[in-house]
Amino acid sequence: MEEFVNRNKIFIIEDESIIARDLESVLSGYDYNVSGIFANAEDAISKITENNPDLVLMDITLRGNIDGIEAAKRIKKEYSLPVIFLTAFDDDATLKKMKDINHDGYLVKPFEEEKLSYFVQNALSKNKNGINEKDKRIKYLENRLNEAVKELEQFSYIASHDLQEPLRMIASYVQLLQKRYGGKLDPEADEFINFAVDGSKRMKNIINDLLTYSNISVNTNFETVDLNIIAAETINTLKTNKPGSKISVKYSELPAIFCNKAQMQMLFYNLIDNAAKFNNNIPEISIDYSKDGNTQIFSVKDNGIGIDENYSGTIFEIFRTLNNRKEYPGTGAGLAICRKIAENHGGNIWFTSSPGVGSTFYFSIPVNQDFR
Amino acid sequence: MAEILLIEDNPGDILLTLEAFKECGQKHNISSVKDGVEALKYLQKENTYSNSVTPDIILLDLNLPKKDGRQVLEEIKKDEKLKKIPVIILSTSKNENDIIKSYELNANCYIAKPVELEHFINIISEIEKFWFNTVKLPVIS
Repeated sequence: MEEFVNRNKIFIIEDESIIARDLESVLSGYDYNVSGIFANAEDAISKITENNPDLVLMDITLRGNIDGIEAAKRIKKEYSLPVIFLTAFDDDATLKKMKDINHDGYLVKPFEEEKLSYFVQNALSKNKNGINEKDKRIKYLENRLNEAVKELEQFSYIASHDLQEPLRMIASYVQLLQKRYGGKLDPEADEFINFAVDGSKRMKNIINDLLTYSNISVNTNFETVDLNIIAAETINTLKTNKPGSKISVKYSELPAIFCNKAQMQMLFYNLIDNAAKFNNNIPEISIDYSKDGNTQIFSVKDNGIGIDENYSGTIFEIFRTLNNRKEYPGTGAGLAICRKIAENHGGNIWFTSSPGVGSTFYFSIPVNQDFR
Repeated sequence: MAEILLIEDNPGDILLTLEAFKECGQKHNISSVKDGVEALKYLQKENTYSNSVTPDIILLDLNLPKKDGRQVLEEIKKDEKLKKIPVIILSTSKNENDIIKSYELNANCYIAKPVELEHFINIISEIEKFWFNTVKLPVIS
């Protein structure tokens, strides 16, 4: 069985069926697996992805919409497969046509068995090296990507740290100005100072959020966590942070999952907080859970203002806000942080909503996290 | 009146700390030095610092020119005479490694400087209450 799997697969594109059969029997004799015989190039190309052949043996003059040269070009370019031509002539005109293509040999009909076998063997081993080169290239790009991601994380971490220092000076001194000289200069001066104080506070929030955001994938402590406890704690924290608010949060029996606890707390907090914040009613929030195969799906449903689903693409981008900052304060980092947490757990985040009625945010976490 | 040594390179931070003490309404003798080398000279009463007064507490920033705060802390805590003086780390960094390292070097406490002025004034007021009212400080001869 294993031997069969390891046999190289060959496509033959030849409109003369007798020749095609002849080729097949010779190749089978050399223990190759002729996995497809086609009279025209389109049919063959359409089967490449599905059949995954190792080599294409083809006539240079073919009936159909694409001739042999054109087909070979596509097969080489799009699928990087070795191509051996079969031709009835080896006159200058034919050779010139073939020259454009980096083919892996040509056989003049009637072909010699040994020459056929030699060309096929040669082309296959050459392509194997090609695959090794490709693997190396992929490995190289993967390393580069990992480095770039790390660099970017480090960059935003350092940037937000270093930004805090001068910001602290600006914020502290405008606040000191306000404290000492507020109401003592003139109304215009007070207004200027207020804008400066407000700006520095917003800047502080943005930098903190950026720091939180850039820290998410750095954090890798995963453990089994009972989400019922997380939900209960989050609701408590939220009620402590918003004293006097009449938030009702219900949650069904939640599972224990393999996750980063601090991140999961943040994810729950942000979603519940949003559900309460973007809400003009007395917030009624329900958290539910379902399982679909390997995927655990959680939902946070509210009776809030809702979101125009046209914004489904942008709402998870960092520092995007849809609403008036005065009415609904915030930097617009919350959902971006949520998305990063879900993705960091191999999952996803999305929502459904009807404006004026409410929204439901869903996030998925796969049970099996072997990819980690 | 307590003697405080503030080791801090940023003039904005020095003034802010003085202002925060002022806001708390407490008068102390606060001296400041702007780098690690100067700090140690001050504490050892070397050169121009022969008349310096040994402080009751030290407020130390971690990122300092010439000799950084960790090194200053290490040298203070290795010195038989100086090691009794409480050292309060006042740093912008909330980095876990900075915090652990400071305690490993026997810092007496670690405080991250907040962005908001009100928070900072509160912290200075806490320092003032705790280190000068609650705590009994050693008498350093």
